Amino acid sequence: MGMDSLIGGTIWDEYSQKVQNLMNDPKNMGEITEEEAKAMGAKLIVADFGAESCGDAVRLYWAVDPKTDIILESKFKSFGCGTAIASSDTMAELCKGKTVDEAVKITNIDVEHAMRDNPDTPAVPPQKMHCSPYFMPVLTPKGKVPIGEIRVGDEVAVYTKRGLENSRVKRVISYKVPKDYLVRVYLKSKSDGIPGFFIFTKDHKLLDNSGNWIEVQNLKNGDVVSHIHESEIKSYSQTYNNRMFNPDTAKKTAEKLKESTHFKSKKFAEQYAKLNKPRGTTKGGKNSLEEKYERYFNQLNLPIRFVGDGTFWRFNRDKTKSMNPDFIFTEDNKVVEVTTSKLPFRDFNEYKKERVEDFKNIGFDCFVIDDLNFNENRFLNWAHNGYSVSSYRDMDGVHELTPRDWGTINRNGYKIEIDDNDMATVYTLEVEHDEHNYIQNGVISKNCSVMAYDVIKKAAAQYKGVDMESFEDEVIVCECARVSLSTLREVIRLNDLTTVEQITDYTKAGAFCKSCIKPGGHEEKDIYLVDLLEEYEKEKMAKNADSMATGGAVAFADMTVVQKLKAVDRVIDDNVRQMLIMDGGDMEILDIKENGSHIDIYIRYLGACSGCASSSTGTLFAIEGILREKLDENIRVLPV
Amino acid sequence: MRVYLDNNATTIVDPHVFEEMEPFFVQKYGNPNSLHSFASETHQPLKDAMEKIYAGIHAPREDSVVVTSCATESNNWVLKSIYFQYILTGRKNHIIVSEVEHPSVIATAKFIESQGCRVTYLPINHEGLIDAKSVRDNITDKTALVSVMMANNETGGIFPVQEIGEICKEYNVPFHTDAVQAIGKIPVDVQSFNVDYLTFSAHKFHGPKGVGGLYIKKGKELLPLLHGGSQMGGYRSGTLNVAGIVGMGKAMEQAVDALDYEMTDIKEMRDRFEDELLKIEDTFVVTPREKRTPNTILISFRGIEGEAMLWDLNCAGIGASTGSACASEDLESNPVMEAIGADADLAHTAIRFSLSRYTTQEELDYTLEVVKKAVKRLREISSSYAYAPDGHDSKL
Repeated sequence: MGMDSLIGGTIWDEYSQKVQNLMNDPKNMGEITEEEAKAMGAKLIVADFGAESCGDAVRLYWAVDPKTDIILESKFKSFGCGTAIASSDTMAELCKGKTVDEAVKITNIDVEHAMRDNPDTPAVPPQKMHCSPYFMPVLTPKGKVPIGEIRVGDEVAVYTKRGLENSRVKRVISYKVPKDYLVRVYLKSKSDGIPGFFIFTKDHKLLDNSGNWIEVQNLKNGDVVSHIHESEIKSYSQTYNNRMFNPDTAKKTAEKLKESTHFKSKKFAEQYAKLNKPRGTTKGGKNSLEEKYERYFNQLNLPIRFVGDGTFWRFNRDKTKSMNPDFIFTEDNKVVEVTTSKLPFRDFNEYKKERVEDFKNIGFDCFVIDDLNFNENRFLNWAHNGYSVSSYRDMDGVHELTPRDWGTINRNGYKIEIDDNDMATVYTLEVEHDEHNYIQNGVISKNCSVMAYDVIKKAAAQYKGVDMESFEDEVIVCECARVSLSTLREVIRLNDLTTVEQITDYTKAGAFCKSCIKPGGHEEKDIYLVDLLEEYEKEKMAKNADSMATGGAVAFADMTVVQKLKAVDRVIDDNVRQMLIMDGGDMEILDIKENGSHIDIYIRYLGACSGCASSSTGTLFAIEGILREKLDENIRVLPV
Repeated sequence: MRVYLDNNATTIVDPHVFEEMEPFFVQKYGNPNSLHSFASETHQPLKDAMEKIYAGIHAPREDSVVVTSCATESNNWVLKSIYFQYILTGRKNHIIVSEVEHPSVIATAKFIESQGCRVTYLPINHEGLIDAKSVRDNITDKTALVSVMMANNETGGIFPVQEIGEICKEYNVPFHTDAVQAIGKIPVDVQSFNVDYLTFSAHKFHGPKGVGGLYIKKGKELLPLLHGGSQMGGYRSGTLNVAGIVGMGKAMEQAVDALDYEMTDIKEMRDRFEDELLKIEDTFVVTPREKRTPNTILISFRGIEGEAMLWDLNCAGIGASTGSACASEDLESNPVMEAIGADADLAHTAIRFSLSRYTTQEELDYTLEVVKKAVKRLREISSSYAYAPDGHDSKL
């Protein structure tokens, strides 16, 4: 609060003259037709971003020279407010004459800078800056589609007790709600350990572990719910072609194998016999199945490790049998056995029953993976124990949206935006399905904005025939200047940066909206600049500690205070203390302070030493000399 | 030329109203509660004003019409007092409001909800109106209040207050209506409507800002929201806003006098204007004309975002409003378009023109020309009408 926030102004006052002029008379507004592109000898690219139902949409036209990749002509059409029109125009202008690769580098901040009247005054109010308004994604057989782009008749996925199922959209309803109708929920998944946040309407229902639908507003920290997992999506959506486990392919392979003479060959029999060694140990490493699943587990970041080489043994209760699983979860009493039901010499079902029973006896929950019939959903649900509602930073697991949640949040390439001034919009899809009537939760708010980066990326992806996401493999920490996580880490490390100001100097990150510096800004981020500094600090510390532990030399000045204290103590123990004690005295270290180029070590003499004449002369010089020699020549020893 | 077509947001103060108020700033500035002639010289004008206000809504003398600072205060007062009297004491546990009420009702209902009261938000139908039947469906013996506005600020849609009043009477549930958008536009009669509480605000009918009122039926007394020096019969303490009350009285008198003009001439002007607007291709109006206040048009121009339209109108000196929160300074952003659940693509395209008795035909003709030009220009820019090559899939 305060005087400025008591009487509202108008956002129009904050538009630069250039924005106003472009709004009134956009220069690059228009279309490029197939024929016009052909006449230029160019390839026509048409990319859309946003949607009318969300308040902003832009269509970008490029005529690209296929030989040089240069954008010969660039035009736009835009549904939206002044900022949307002016920024689309500026974007189209900036694209001209650039190659597609160069164009992808155009950031929203470039566009915004180009619209400034003078270099120091932003061209648009901050909330209109880089928030491309976007929707929560809805899963469809074609992949994830922003809910605002779903139309009546489209097929969408419904999450049911049985898993993901298809349904058809009967009606699209959108309505606005006060922001407190929404809650933000952090769901922590076992697989990656990173809390995923979701914005739900309060009455959105999630499936709990006992198969009941429970409203999110009734969830508490620690509650466990099941939620669509990324890999479930992968196996559901046809757009994902990197499916590891296709039941059809597996079946075919099995058929093929049955007929194959190879299967009956000695070589194979030996190989499988090895697999089925009495105590289940794979001597000398993993077999191909175990390797395959280890890759798969790694891909999911499951907290699971391979122990099939005999590194983990447990006896059953009566000590008649010792057990060695293939994989074990690091946190839970859960083990995984990997095998295949096609082994000729083993009754799979019996084997499975036996293993599960055996492990149960020693207190482990065992999942036997049958490579031929791998039920990924069942496995994942078992592996994750669902998702648990957990607190994140200082926020409760389920909490109403606070000013900290307003702004743009990136999730899987989609953005959710809730603005301080806006009400949120909830989209509800009425679907034809026997278990659910509605899919609810496309939460957005509308906010006219600069959409340059997203639509350019889309156009470039089309031109190159790649997935739009392939430009987004980097985690962007600073949206304004588009500085990625890896760049920041590298810059911090290379230049040994310790302050946010230094980072801004080097990378421009944190210069504009400042949201990425620390929590509490306009946007919520997964990682902030301060986190990166802390991370680097810790890394340095850990490196020093490691190096010291292994006997390596770490410069005294680079040590932490505790390390310094220990180092000094060690030197004194080894070289000085003995002598002092022999004389009936002792000394203690009080403090270590950096004083300009010097490192001051404050000590106090104990016992006989405290009155000794040489304690401030000879003995002192001796101690100082030893410390200087062993640790750092800038050390000064000061008796107190 | 400057044209003001945002009369549902606020109105020009009628010069006669202003004239009536003027003496109470520099000449007759006494506090009506004091004991001297400075005070007593304000008493008669105040009484006259109250007569006019009572007459304006046809309130019987035994009932109370309490002057408040604004409609927001009146709405807050009703809901919070009901909360203290019925909900907090455990006698009732439920209130009913429509989902398109003014924020001063919705936000207060939300607050009461957060204190443990059950709140039913009545949905609006495809015409943007409330079905009286839905009140009957939701009302119970634990319902402490029904609050449904008389006319909606966004669409101008007139809600079936009379029927709802009868249902409430039948169930013996207090009924509140927010008549802010109704006074001076349609006849308002607290007796025939069966309302127990009715909210109004002077600045919506050519009175001054900062003064509103709440009608309270005898026997349905509320707890005071503002405690203090027992002004307004102890109902609402605070030194009387003498000029404001006098202004509101005059404004009310004039609004009632002008009702005929509003319902004939302005309505005709509005209808002609609307007809012309609808001649523009791809334009839509949701609520049927006969079910709307005579001064309001909420119209969608496909492919044109509301704020962009406002921009072009503003450049030509025309003030209108959008249902879109994009223009976030808009205090009237009631999400009716969204609630109607019409075409999602139209949700951001709604523009509201609201006329008053000061609107002239000349102004509307000018506005029409400007709108046509703006529609042409903005649709040329709009991606909604843009060329796409064969086989272009916008989702790719």
